[in-house]
Amino acid sequence: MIMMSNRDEPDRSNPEDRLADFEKRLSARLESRNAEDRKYDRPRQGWAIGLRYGTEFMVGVLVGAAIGYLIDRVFDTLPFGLLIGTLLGFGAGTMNVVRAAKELSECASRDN
Amino acid sequence: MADTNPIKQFEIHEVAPLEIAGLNLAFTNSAFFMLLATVSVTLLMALATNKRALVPGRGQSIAEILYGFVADMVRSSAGNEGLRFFPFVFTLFIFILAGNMFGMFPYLPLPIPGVDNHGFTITSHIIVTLTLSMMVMAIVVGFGVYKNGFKFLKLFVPAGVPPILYIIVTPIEVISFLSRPISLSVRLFANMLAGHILLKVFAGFIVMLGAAGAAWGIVGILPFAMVIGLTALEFLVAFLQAYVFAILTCIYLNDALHPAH
Repeated sequence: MIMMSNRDEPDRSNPEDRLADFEKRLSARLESRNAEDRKYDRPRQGWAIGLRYGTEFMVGVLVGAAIGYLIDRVFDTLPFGLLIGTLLGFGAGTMNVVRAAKELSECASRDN
Repeated sequence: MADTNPIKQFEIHEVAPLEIAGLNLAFTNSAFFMLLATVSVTLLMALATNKRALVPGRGQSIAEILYGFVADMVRSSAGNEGLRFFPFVFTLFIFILAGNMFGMFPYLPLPIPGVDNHGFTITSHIIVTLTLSMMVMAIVVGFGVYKNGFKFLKLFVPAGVPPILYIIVTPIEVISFLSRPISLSVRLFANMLAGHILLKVFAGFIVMLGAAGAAWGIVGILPFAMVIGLTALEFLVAFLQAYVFAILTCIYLNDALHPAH
């Protein structure tokens, strides 16, 4: 112990220093532990995120096409409403994915 | 040979027939599992919190952790204002979680004799998940219009877009909004449906191999290992999907509180 004290380690006999030292060691330990945990968290989150993007996009296209088809049924303009609806649905699906990605990156930056 | 039909688990059976004005309102096994989820959660919460100890015991800790978890979720995605929806989000989360978890029993017979018994996952039926997501959307639209009036429509007219582009952007925003309840419900339903079918298909392989003869029975170890792994994965999915449903609810409620993003 006497040999080690020439590094600028706090005086162990002083209770306040000991507490501060403990806090420092504890936070370092916690940090490494959390980093370890995050490594294991990643794959399962990736899987969930992938599924989320998939449904968001698919549903956008389907709803767009459905609305276009309904407009066709009401106004009797069969191919055009469906075509425009699908195109707009494609846009809506893309926007859903972009929104989802934005939400997720906000969550990620808050966690770190 | 044993029944290895992987989709038998989704069958609905009438437990107590009831017909009002031509509508079939029978109490089914689906309704039974919903009741089971609701009653067990209510009992758990009532028992856990009735002591109101300053230093929580085990039961109270569970209740407090659940409360803190959902409250943090609401606060982080809908702000402090969003906490007025806390009871709704908490109920949704805990109901879906309990339903998913009761669905993880491979065999959970009803306590009623004479009914074809099997386990059941309420969230593997799209009518249940769609009803839940429509409730969310009804609250988002209802509260959004009540609080913001016509300003709620700003949701469909994002700021910072050249006026001429509104011809395209507004329909896209409307479609995007309408796709929310569907993506919310389809994700939960598809996850539970696919996971449980996969689980039962592999479990069926064990029975089939066992019935094929002694030597094949040893090969049955392979699907058995797969079933163990899949069961662990399904527990994860059961929790994760309840969490995703709740957090998306919070994000949509945030739109009702602050329509101009």
